[in-house]
Amino acid sequence: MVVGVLLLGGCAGQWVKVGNGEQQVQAERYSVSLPDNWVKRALNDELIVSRDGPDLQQIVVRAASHAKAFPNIERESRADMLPSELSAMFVAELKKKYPDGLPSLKIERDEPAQLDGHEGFFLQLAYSTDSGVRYGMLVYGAASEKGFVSISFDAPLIHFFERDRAVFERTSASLKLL
Amino acid sequence: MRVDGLLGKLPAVLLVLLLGACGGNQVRELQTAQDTLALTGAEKRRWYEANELDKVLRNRGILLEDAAANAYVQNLMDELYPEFAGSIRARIAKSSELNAYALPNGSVYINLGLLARMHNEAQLAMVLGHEAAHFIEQHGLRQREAADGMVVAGVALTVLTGIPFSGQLMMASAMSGYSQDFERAADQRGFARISERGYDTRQAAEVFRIMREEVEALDIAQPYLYSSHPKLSERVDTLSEMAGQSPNGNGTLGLQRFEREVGHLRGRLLAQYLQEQDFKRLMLILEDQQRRAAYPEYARFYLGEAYRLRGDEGDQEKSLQAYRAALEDAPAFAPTYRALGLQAMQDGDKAQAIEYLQQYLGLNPAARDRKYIQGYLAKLGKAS
Repeated sequence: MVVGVLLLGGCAGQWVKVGNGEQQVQAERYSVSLPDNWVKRALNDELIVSRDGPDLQQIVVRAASHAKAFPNIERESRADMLPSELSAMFVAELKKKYPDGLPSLKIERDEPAQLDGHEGFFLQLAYSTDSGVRYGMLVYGAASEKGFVSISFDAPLIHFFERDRAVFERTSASLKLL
Repeated sequence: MRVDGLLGKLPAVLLVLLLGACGGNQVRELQTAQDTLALTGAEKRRWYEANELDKVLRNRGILLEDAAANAYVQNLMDELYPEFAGSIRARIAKSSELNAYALPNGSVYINLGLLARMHNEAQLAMVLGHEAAHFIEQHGLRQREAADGMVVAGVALTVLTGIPFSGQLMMASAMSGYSQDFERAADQRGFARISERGYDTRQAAEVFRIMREEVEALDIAQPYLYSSHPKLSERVDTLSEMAGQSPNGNGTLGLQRFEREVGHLRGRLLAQYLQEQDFKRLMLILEDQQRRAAYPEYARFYLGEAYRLRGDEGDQEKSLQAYRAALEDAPAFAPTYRALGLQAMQDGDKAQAIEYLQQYLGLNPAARDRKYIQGYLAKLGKAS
């Protein structure tokens, strides 16, 4: 974790509290309404929001051009891609980010879903950390003419996942693909 | 996503394992399991750290959940080194990388990606014999001198294994000469053991030939082992020469037991490659008809998927041909119908798409992607 923070430090924005009328974020490819009194940070093509710190819960909005949608598996998305194919690519990309392929990852649900009216996918995943803490992860993803957008939530299954899940669902429902 | 030290903690722990206080002390070679009951101070520290690493790996979920296959690998290890029975714990890791590694406490991990690529028990025995040698000769403890030149923690796993961990290839050149000696020593001990157990010693070189082939096919610029390590070609040549002088050049392959106990893992590896969208490896092992014969009868479905994922000019036709061939080879294998159905859908052939997708769900009513397929069928129904 420490190594990761050091390496990423150069391109990470500061954590900024969400509030005082700043809940609405508009980016190049999306707009979203963030939960009040959480904190947010921009990191490359991702917007990260958390209430108690990213180890305890985080919502990540990621928007990328089709060419840069899945860089680790070196594949591109397309606006007309089938939702099941996008979902498979999302999982492959996630696994590829880790040297050992994230072996604890379990796909609990994988089904079609809408993201701002665009046909996409919904994934419910689970994985464990090196210290054995089980995390849950929810993801909505879809492709538009402009690129691929996903919004995900992950948190320890103990307490935080269920507590903050509704906030994630509200946030993902507010996501608009531009 | 929070996975602790997947990118940081593990290499750091391993670096500690390797750089720990062993300088100046004579490191003994273990003779039997009894030697592990009376560890020296430095050994105790490495053991403790390796035990902690075992826990991390377990938490990370790397262990393949296949009790019978794991028992077979452990039994084979015990047959190779009966004097260390109970001290060397051999396990199968889920990773699809062509890799195996040993920790200083006697934990040996062989990745699914290596195990399922072996052709027979003699080759597997060579891998296990080699890794156990790292433990017996305590290379992890002796490595300090060799590691002095290392500047990057991430190379640590490679140090133990001689076969690099995924993603660490570019760091290989940091290694110094000691590891070259260790790898040669491990090769020689592994070779000696398979020879003593009556295996066909020519298979030792085959292990490294398979690795070399992958390096070439995947276009890895600086192959596998560090510049100071014995290069793969050198290892192939050396082990081939040793086999030529060995009395067991015509020993057993252990083919039947290997196929019975772990042959089924090849199908699992194909599915894993597909989930990882690793079309290069799928093509490497399935394009060759002779090699493909060792894989399940539905293997050409995966070849078709590989062409689809690559998406070069002409690949669509190649993938269709492979799917159709898979249908003939294994008519009850459901995923082929899905692939053909989705392709027909893309081509606008609605009737054919509906037929294939319905066949898919008929053969696999509990398919995880059932809701997607039902959605596609609903759309096709409306459109037709």
